[in-house]
Amino acid sequence: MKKGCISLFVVFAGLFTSSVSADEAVFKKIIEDYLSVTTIKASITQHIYPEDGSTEIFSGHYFAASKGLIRIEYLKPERQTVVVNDSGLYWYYTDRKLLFQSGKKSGGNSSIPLLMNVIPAESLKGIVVAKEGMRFYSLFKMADVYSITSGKNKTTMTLWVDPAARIIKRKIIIDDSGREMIREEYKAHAFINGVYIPSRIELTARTASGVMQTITEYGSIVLNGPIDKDMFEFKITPEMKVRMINER
Amino acid sequence: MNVRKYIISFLILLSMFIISPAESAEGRTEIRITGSSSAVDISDILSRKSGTLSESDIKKICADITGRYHDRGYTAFYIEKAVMNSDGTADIIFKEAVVSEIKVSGMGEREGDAAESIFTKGELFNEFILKENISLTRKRFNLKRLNVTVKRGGDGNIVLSAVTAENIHELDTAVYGSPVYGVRPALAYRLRTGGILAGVSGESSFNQTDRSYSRGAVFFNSDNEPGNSYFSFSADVFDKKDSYDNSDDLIYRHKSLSPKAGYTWVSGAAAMGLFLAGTFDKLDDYPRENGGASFYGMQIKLSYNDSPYKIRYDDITTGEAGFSSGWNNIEERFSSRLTADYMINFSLFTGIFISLNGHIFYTTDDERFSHVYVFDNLIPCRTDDYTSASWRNISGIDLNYEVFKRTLYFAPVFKWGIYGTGSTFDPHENVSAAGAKLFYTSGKIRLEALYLYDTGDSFKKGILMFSAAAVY
Repeated sequence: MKKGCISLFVVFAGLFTSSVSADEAVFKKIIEDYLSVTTIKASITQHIYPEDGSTEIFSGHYFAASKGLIRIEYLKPERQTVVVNDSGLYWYYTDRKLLFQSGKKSGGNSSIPLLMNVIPAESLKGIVVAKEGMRFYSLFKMADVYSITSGKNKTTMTLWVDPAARIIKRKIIIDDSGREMIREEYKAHAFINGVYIPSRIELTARTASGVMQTITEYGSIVLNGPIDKDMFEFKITPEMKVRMINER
Repeated sequence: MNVRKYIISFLILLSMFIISPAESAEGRTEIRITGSSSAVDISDILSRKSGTLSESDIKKICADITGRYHDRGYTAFYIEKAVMNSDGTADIIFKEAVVSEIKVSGMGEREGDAAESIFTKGELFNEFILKENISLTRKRFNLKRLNVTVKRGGDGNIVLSAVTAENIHELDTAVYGSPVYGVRPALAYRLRTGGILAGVSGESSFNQTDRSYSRGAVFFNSDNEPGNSYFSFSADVFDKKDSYDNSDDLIYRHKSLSPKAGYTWVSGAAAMGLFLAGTFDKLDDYPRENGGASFYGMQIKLSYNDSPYKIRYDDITTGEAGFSSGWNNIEERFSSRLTADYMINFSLFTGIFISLNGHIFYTTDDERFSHVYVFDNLIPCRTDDYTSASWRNISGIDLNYEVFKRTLYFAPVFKWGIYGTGSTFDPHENVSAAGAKLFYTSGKIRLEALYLYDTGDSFKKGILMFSAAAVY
């Protein structure tokens, strides 16, 4: 098994050295492609499957911008607005005038911040990427598998990259005992503005209440289009009933 | 149900494809911070005020910083000191509080592993992470109760004290169908305490047909933590009525006792066990023999099971191969036996996965009572066919379709079998079977219905099998 270790900081800062091998060139290209994405606009449909066998479906519009700014306007099952910005997370039930508010989770402690919005340079220290080899991700297709480990915690992330299609197919977060904690499958990639963006993301995660699964489908995706920064602001008005979200 | 908490966890899904280069926070020289690990971004708070600072500015900044830390779960954070300097600048000294000690009681040898699972020593204390880790630790170690007390030590850091109570008792109930013996109810009880695992199990067909099957077992493992190596002892008792040939007139009774002791080395999903084993038999109405020790010798068992590590059922692989070699006192010669089972799942498309599965049996023993029925519940495709064989290889493919998400599956099933009697593989017989399986799984319950028929015969002559299992 070939282990080509590169500093992730180097990857994200775009300061590739000439020693990076051809095997890692695809990985580098994918990261470079994502570096060019600054905004995303899309329609969104989310299917949520908790362990009890029930199903919930949400749909609406999705907006995201660099620095971790997100806005989702759900139309179904009821009108809701979700905003994530520098000051936290706001989840507003429009018709009920009910707001759930939370401080934004810091990304530096419990997870490896790879591909996560703003990445403080401090968080990238001690993170290494190692190529673990090639594995089948479907019957006839193989992926290069990279493991990303952090000196800060014992969590490992593996990224499955299809070198032929130049796309990330899978991400798995593994805890210190070797158990998969989160698994994301990236499917139905759309080629937009020279970047392959998945339009369907299937997530399976261990939570305190059991294993849950979600399928998120994005449609009408627009990359790097203009988005008014005010969309990511959230103003609390007197008529809103404000509660805290007791979640991370 | 409230699914808000689930959605929060994947808000970043697509936005993860937006990557921004790191920014540095520079030029904020009016406030100097000491003791910060940069776990929480407070740059916006520090940059709100420029120029000369007043005492009320510092108080407000300190309150905002503390609030920010606490909102993000760092509830042990406090500001040790804030100093206004004469030049209008300020020094703020943070106490972020790391977890310096984790005490666990009530789990014996597993206390160290549990402590690591509850929190990582030396990391900043975070209440949200602690809560989630407590839930995961309860599940991982099968704990009935896990109470964690958070106290601040003399150095200002955090000491976690966990009191645990293990889930001691576990009961499995099941009903299996068999084309040979009929319906077999089964019961198993497991006791987990003080790091050990012990239990008893039993099942019986209660003489529904001419052929009958009853089994009892006791077992003891010196360690009950998945992933740890252990010493084990077990003993199986069988009381069966089987046919000597494919005839209802030649029924014999076979009682046996099979004790086994050894050590199993475990490394992640893989394990290897080495055992001393024996089988002592008593035979009634059996031609020529009336019993004795049909085997005593060594057994090596290799197994692989990644299901505790994989998060999705369509991705798991399990397999076990056991090879026994020793002396057969009844046949007065060396005896060897190989058994193997495997299942490899892999996803084809969303909601569709293939399950490759199989079973291998081989023995050098000549006597019928050491052989197996060919058409038992592993390939139940023929009615009233009690052919026995000294070796058998069954391979199968299930094409599973997820009818309802993670609960109900439907699968066309195909199986191929090759079997024979004797020390060589000739002569041998072949069989192929096809059918369909419907299975339901939800938490601790699993139900399965399988219809399988011999493709060389009529579809109507197939067999419908049911099984149900639940864990309490």
